[in-house]
Amino acid sequence: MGRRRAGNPPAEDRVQLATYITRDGMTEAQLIRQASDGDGQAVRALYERYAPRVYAVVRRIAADDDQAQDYAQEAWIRAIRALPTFRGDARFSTWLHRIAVNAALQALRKAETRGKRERPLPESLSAPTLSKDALLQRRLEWALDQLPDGMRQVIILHDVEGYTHEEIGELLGVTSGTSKSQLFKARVKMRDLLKDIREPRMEPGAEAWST
Amino acid sequence: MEHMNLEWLAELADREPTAEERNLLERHPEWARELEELKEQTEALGALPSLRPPRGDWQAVEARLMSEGLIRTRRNVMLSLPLSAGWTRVAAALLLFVGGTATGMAVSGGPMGANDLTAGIETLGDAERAVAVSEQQYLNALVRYRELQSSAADLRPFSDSGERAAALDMLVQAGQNALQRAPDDPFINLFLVSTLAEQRATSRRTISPRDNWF
Repeated sequence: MGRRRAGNPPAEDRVQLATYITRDGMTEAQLIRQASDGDGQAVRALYERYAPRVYAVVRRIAADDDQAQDYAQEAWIRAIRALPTFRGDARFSTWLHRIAVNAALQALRKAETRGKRERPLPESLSAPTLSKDALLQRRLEWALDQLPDGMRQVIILHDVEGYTHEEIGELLGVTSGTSKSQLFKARVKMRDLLKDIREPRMEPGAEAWST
Repeated sequence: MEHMNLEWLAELADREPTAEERNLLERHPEWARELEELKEQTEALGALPSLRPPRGDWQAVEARLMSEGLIRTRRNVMLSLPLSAGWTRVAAALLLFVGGTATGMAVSGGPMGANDLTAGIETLGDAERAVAVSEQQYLNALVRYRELQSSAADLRPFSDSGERAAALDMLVQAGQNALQRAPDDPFINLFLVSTLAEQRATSRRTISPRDNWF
């Protein structure tokens, strides 16, 4: 399947203009078709719909804001480039998510000179004004950032994103047994990190992750 | 008595304990408590929300998509000029269109002309859309022209496609900087659009199937 061809006839562009107006009413399949044909507005609509999910997984894998933005952008470029090969066998969101994960993992492997992230505990992790949910989210995100790369990748892919150990093994180039072992270690490490930052004065039953 | 370490408990967060494990947990409430905490932690991770990308992220993605020739958009070089430029932007784009008409006709053989472009334009919005379409037609035609031209004549001075792409990136950057200083200058507009077209044509020539790896 070829990419958008150069020298489109003028009539095609006039049709394109008409679709800008009805963009909101388009189905995802139509959006994908138009995006695949190089329609910037359709690509934008897909971006608006899925950018938070793409950014979230890439940010958590990278554990770094600047790198996350680069990796997320790379994921979008790869996805739009590969869009003509999207057959609809899987859901678009699943397909895109996989591209984002691969983009982030590949970029991380290339970033050999990356220094160890030593992040101080942000004050916001104990801010009394935060809601319980917001506080919990910040603590979890902080603790994820502290994990060693291997553990972090596995726990994000399994516990946050719902991948199976077989899928994780395939993505990371390890056995599913290694994935399991890393996951259990990561959970314990997370638990220790979170215990360390829990408020000692917190009321009984009001632990950060209690429901 | 067997000791349930934390990694064992972490594993139990995903599955039902066996009868033997249930026995151990019943006899050791502190382990059962640890397990509950690990389960809650796992559930909380699964409920983490999506994260909004930083501001300006779409603009960066869009710019890269455009530079690689992957999208066409109304928010292009001409229309991203300051709004105060108003009709002068349109005028500059029209100049470009007229300049490119000959190339467009030569390549597409289609009946394009200035009359077709201005028919039905009554508002600024109409004009902006017409400019976007015209500019895209011109770009498409120019890209095709360059592709045909380069397939006929070997690009020996830039046999290294990476070097050529890098050189074109520099020219585009220079053109964009120049356009910010002189947004209405038809020569600079023409230079930038022409360079963008060449950049896009080069990008298409150098994209091989393995580049689609993801």
